[in-house]
Amino acid sequence: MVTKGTRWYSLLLAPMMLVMGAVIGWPLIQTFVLSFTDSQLMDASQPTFVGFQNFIAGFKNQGFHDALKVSALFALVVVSSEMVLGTGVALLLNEPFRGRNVVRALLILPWAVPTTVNAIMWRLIYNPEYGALNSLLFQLGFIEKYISWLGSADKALGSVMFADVWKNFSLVAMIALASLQSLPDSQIEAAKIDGANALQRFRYITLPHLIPSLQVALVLRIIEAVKVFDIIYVMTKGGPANKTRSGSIFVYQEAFTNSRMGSGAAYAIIMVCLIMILIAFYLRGISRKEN
Amino acid sequence: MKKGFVLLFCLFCLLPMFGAGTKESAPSGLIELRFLGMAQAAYSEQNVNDMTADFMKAHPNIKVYTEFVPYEELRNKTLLAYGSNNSYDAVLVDDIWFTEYDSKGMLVDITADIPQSYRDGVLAGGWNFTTKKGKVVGLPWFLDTMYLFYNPTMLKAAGYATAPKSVEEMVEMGRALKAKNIVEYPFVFSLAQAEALICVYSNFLEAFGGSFQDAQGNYILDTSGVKALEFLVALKQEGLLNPNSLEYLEEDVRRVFSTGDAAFTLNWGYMYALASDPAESKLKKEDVAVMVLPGSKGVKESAAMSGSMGLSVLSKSKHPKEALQYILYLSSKEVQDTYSNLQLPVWTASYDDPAIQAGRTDLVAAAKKAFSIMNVRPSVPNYQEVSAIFQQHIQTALYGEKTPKQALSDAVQMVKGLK
Amino acid sequence: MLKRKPLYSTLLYLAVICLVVYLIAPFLWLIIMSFSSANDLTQKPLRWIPSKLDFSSYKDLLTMGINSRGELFVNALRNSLTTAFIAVFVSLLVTIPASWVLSRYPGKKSWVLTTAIFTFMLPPVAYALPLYRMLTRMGWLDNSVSLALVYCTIVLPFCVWLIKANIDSIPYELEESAIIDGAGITKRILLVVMPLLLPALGTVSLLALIMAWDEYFYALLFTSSKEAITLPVVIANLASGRQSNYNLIAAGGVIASTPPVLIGVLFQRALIRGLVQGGVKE
Repeated sequence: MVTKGTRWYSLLLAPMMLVMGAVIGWPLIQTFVLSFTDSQLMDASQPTFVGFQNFIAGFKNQGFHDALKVSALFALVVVSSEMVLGTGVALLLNEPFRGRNVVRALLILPWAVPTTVNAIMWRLIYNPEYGALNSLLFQLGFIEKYISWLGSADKALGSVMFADVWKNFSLVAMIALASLQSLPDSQIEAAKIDGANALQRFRYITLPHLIPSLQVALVLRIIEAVKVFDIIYVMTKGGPANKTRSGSIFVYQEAFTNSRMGSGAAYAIIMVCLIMILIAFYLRGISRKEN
Repeated sequence: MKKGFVLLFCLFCLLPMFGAGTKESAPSGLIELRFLGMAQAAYSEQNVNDMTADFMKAHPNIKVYTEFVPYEELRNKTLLAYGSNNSYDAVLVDDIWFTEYDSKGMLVDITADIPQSYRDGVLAGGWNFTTKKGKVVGLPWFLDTMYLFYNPTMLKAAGYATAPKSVEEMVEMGRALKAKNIVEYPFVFSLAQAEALICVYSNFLEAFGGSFQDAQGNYILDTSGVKALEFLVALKQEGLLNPNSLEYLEEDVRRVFSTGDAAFTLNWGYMYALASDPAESKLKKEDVAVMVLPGSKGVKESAAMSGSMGLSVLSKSKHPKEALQYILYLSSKEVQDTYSNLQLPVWTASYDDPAIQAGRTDLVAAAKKAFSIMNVRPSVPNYQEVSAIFQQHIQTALYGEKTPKQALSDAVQMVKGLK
Repeated sequence: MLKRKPLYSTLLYLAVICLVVYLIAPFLWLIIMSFSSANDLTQKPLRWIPSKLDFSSYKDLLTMGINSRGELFVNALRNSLTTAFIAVFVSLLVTIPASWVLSRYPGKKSWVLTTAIFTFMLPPVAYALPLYRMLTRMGWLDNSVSLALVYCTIVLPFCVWLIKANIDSIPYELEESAIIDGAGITKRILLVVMPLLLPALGTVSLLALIMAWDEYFYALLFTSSKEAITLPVVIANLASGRQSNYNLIAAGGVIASTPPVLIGVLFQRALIRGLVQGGVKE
């Protein structure tokens, strides 16, 4: 390629690097440094260096382990549900039927609803005394007594996950549908002529065609699910009995509610490392598949 | 796509419109104060804004901007804003935060600036929680405790003509109410994982003669606090406690009581007026009664915990004198008497004022009693974290995952491990 | 079209009906709640159709009076719009030239792209603490512009990823012919690439707007007063469990959802095409 004018390239890249460096790079480095100190939220004085103390305490902290488990469970259940449901819905909407365009247009509604609105909407629906869900199930005869969805230790996380799936499955569905629409009918017709049944057509033609876009959806969703904060914080603040406290909420409480920035930074770094390991596995898996 | 861009462009042009009507730049000589209060509190936002409007009328050179956040955000916002160059001038402070704020040097010492009339006129209990290390760092704005609200109509229907004299008698009444199908869950409390849970628990802790700490400040809940927690767990297991309590805060509890779905509950004084207000409740005046929580038989006669709040001037305020004027106004006798329908004043004389007593002699009597016996939650700088640990473990016991003794032991262990 | 078995048809339409209910029921209920009276909403069992229409919550939230809830809400609405627009504008401004470089000269500095995507994967808590201290020290808390810059942490990587992918699909031959005509880099970008990029830019900016509108965590940390507070924070505070006026909460939710839902419904095709194209062309 052209080598002259390389200064131009740096100049064009510079603004973006500057912004990213200022709001991401520099703070990230600072977090790294902070994690080795005992810095407090409002302390103006110089924090003292404490070495790996925060990390050691962090690894031993049961609350943190539980929080990581919540994040992992949340990501696993939510993303797999969305992928399966989204793909299924896309396949459904790829079939011809009357009113299909209307339904396709409606598909974006859950995704467009902001996360905080989604959270309060489901909070209202889950209300143990006057919520729509309890009333519906009761009036249809499915339950005898109203249930405390967000107040039961065993149901709270599931309820939050259900709310998250409602909003985000539609993104997966829309991406998959867009991909399905670019699958040429001729391929399907040819397969039918060759005698392939529906399952075979799906496995050998549809699915491979879907995979690249599904991967996009998967990556997008996993990233967001692992970082989850907003929907849980607004719905339950991490309760009851910390059963819905995700990793991000734990770090937030440690750094801001308990004012321990140094310790909070360490937890954040641990989370970052875990995510990097996750990414590494994913990339390894992809490159292996391609080979 | 073109249509879309036109739409977006129009949206963008609408933006300046929203800017109209808000903060204009202050003409010289005008002092601006920022006050942070609590949303959905006893003194409603409307009340506080009315008080503020009157204050601004009397002081045309001062403009006060009020902000209100839910209780759960109040401390966070105060700390966060203080940490920036954008601190509030005056804030509402819960009695459990005074120690923490003071240890961080956030509060202005106003000992010397309080008029003598204030000193003498305010309830003694008020100065208790606003004085730290001999300095007065806040003005008491209201004293409050969680009273026992009960429904005398329901009790009468079950054959009880008088109020319970002990906790055990109260449970007996609850059992009878349930057995006679008068109410499915006689008891409802605010037991969500929040400070409200500690308030409820603390009331029963008092009733059973326990305490959070010993004289040296060591936490002794693993011994002293077990009875109170076992009591709550038993109530739930027996089916007398509304199971949704574990999700409820004060407003939820008020709603449940106000629709006649509970016979006993604990809540702050603000609930008294609302519980018989036809716009807010299905109950009539004779269905609502209030008293101080009775103690356990043979242990205590009554029990109460302090849930008071005060007003302070923050040390980063640029106008501490005017801010002090503002909070002195808010807590003055005239203002408090005027707005006393939801919140009792902190002035001793008010309690003998027939106008204040009108229509709620039982509340005033209960308040007088409670304020003289109420006990405080631990006054430690890291109370926030301590409380969070206790909340979580108490809930664990209530969910039946651990025995009360085990839960409290674990909690005390964890608290000991805090730096 | 082949005649389908009636069983298949029935199942199909059944599935479609279930889907439609699943899609719209929750939000429809929110809308109904927003104009139901408080009384209707606290009936047991619940009344599904309100006995009377009560729009007082909308009035409450949208009327400005000094220090009123409406003033806070309208200001939050303005702040959300402002912050989102500024964030997207700044992001596009810096990512377009950068993406062009990354697309046309893949060997050089490809680590920049990887880093950009990597940062997208980090939890915001990881850099929220120092950001908070930085903003505190500079006195930039509670400020829509600084909040918009912080939003770049989520908007920027996303824009780079998509815009670069879109530039990839613009044939380099077009630029080559421009080079032969003697065009410099500026001309190439502005006259050759940009016109072809505009549709994709539209899509990316809409997607980014929706992302910025949705943001809660940073707004929670870095704003406090009506100067810069955004809608998600106001809504969350309204519904914080101390409010039992359900129709007020619902009204707030409906108002806050209107811009993104409008954008979503109007531009659905374009949005998804932009998203898919960007990702798949990797």
